[in-house]
Amino acid sequence: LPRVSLPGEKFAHWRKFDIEEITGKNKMFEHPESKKYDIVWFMLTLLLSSGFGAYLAYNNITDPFLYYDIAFLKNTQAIGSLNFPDSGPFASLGLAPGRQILMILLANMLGATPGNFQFMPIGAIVISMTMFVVYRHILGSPSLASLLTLYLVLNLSHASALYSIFAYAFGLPIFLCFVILSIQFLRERNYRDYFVLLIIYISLNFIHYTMTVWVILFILGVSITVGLQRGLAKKQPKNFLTPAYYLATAFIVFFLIFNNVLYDSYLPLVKYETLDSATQRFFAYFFYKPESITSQFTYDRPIAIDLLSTLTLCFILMPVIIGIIHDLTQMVVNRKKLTEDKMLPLIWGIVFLGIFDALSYSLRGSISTKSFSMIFPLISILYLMRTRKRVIYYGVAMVFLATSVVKVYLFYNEAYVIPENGTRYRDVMMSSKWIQSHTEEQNYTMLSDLNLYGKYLVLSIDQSTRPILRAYTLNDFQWVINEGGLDDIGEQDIIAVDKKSYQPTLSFVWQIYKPLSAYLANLYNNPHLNVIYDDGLILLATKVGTRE
Amino acid sequence: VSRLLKRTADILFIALVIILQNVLMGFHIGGPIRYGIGFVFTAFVPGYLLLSLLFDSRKNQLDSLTKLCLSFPVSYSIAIIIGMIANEISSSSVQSQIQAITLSLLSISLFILLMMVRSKTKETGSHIGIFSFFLISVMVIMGGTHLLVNSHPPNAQTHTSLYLAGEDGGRIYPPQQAPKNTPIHIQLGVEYDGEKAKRVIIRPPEGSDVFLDLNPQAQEVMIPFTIIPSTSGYIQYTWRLIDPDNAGIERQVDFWVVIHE
Repeated sequence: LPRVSLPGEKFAHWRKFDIEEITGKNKMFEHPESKKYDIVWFMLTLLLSSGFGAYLAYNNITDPFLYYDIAFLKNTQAIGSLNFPDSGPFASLGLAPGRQILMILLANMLGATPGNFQFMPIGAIVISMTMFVVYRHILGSPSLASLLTLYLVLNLSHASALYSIFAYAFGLPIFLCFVILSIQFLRERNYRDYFVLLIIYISLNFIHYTMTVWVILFILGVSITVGLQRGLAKKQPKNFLTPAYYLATAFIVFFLIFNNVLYDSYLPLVKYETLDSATQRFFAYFFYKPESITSQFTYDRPIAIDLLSTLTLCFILMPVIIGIIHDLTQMVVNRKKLTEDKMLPLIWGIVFLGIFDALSYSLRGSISTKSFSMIFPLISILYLMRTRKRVIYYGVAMVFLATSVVKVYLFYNEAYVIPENGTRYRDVMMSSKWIQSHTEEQNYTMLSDLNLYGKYLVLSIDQSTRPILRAYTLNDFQWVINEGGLDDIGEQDIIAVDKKSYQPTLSFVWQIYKPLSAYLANLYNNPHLNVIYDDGLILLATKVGTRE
Repeated sequence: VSRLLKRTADILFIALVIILQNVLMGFHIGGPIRYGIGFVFTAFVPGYLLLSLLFDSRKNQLDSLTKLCLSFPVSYSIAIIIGMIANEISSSSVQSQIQAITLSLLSISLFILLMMVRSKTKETGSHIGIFSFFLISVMVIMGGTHLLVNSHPPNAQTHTSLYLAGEDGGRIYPPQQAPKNTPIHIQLGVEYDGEKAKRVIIRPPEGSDVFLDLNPQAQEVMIPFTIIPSTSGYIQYTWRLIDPDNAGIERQVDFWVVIHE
């Protein structure tokens, strides 16, 4: 690759983020001083994260969508080749082929069975290591990096998506790697960084669309900020970064050409109703829950968990909002300070990412707060570091971590994520075999909770029949528990209920209902239902009049 | 020797990982060691070799710990790109092996390249202490996950199941109707895998546990129970089964009955 020579080169001697520049003479941030403690903090972070990952693995905590990946992995191992079908339960996996390839490769190299591989705490290990070093570079303090890393890894709101092998477990470390290398690239314009960034971006495109969009928005946000800094400066600023508009454009073009998620999964959902629903869901964070998104059967998390999540979000967002307002004021009052702030591109890049990510999800029916809660703590602390008061930013970082620890206690106490809550593969095995012996067709439709369906799907790989999910709607839910005069639920072959689970009944895309185990008496007394199998853990039923 | 070791310690370690992984895979050896070595081989080695080739540690382009940690996401990226290329060029039935072989070949190529670069320059590898401590820690943690996931097998097969049957042996499902103070005759059916399940403990709703030796030739046994409801209303009876041959797994079946006067 040719060496890219750009105006910023004369500042190429800047090797590290100069934290002292924004924190005055406060020596505490100077990296070399704290270097001797790096490995201690690193090991502490790694051990605590791995330990928590082990706890989650032991309790078989998983993201319900991961069952699709595991079933596909099992199928690929069984037939020895990788084929993405155009229809059926695995059709959507073709949108992220890289993730499937990585999972197959890892499972084969580790000699792990799909059932064991699903619960391995790989994400907890890799995310904690990557996040620690990236945050340490940015914040200049291993202890702060450790606190923020542990805040995320121990956070049960994100744990099921992060700790094992779900898309975020692979995507987030790559995104963080991109952040650190892209800043280095914008500073030095070196072919090495350029080459690694390209590899990272191309692979990320095939792992998860959210992370790909994050990368695009980040590089775009950083470039715009650097361009703004240069535009506002009266003379060439001391800023060592150079915008990379062409790189952002190339990434966008690559995304539009090679990633079909936008056309197949995103654009078809964009309509007025989804935007309206997203707005209502966002306000639900602040305890305003309109009738249209809730009913007596919608699962309400305990108030303590909602309260804590809202408080955490406020804690994260408040310094960011105040910091942005301050920055914008500086644009008028003290341009020089703003144009020479070396952290500003990174901060505004992440803010740009967060805002557009939240808005992009709003068009799909829910304003996403994922980026706010996952990476905004970093910029929250960066803004607080401007106060130069150690007690403030260390205190807030500790509060972040404390919210995650309290969440563990709350979730455990509220029976939301606890051991032996819900069936495991072994519990579903008998009923799965029973269905196979009573079904002649290759596919059958199953009205079920997403978690239970996932287990049937994985177990069906060894069998000749395959379940197709019919996810619950509010109408289906009310019909099954015989509550209210409702429309018929239409044709489906079987209704499966996890009698053991106290977890909410998961449907597709942000619809969750109360646990069906709480309505067993209604279910048994439903005159429209025939119970055809009941082994104490699993109940199978059909609609009266359905052929057996 | 000390200087030579300083320059080559990391690549010697990596050579050992590459050799061990291929031996373990070749002889189909599984277990904690395979977990540790396999994880480092796939999720660390390609990224570390590439970063070591591109970033000179002498010039402080990436410090040791950063290079070690960023090797994981970079390895993921390399594995995905290699896997996708292998997937495009290989025939259907051997794709998994092709991917593994391609990754091995790439790692070996990068390894040789790095050796050549190191032999011509005075560049050293990562700090030996940090490198070995780091990698051994990761291997031990990953090896530990093998013990963890296998100590509580998530996909263990159930050997037994329970169901309720009437006097004629036909399955019954709740709710049932019955008059007060009249005996209800019910049978608890235990289905089992004759090769695996040997004995079970039945815990009825009332009274003491029943220890049951299962006949290996059969696959099913029926145990009759009689219950006499003394109160009217909606009553739930629960039978539990404990399977000591299958990690003490418990099954339970509920009988819901509406008792009228």
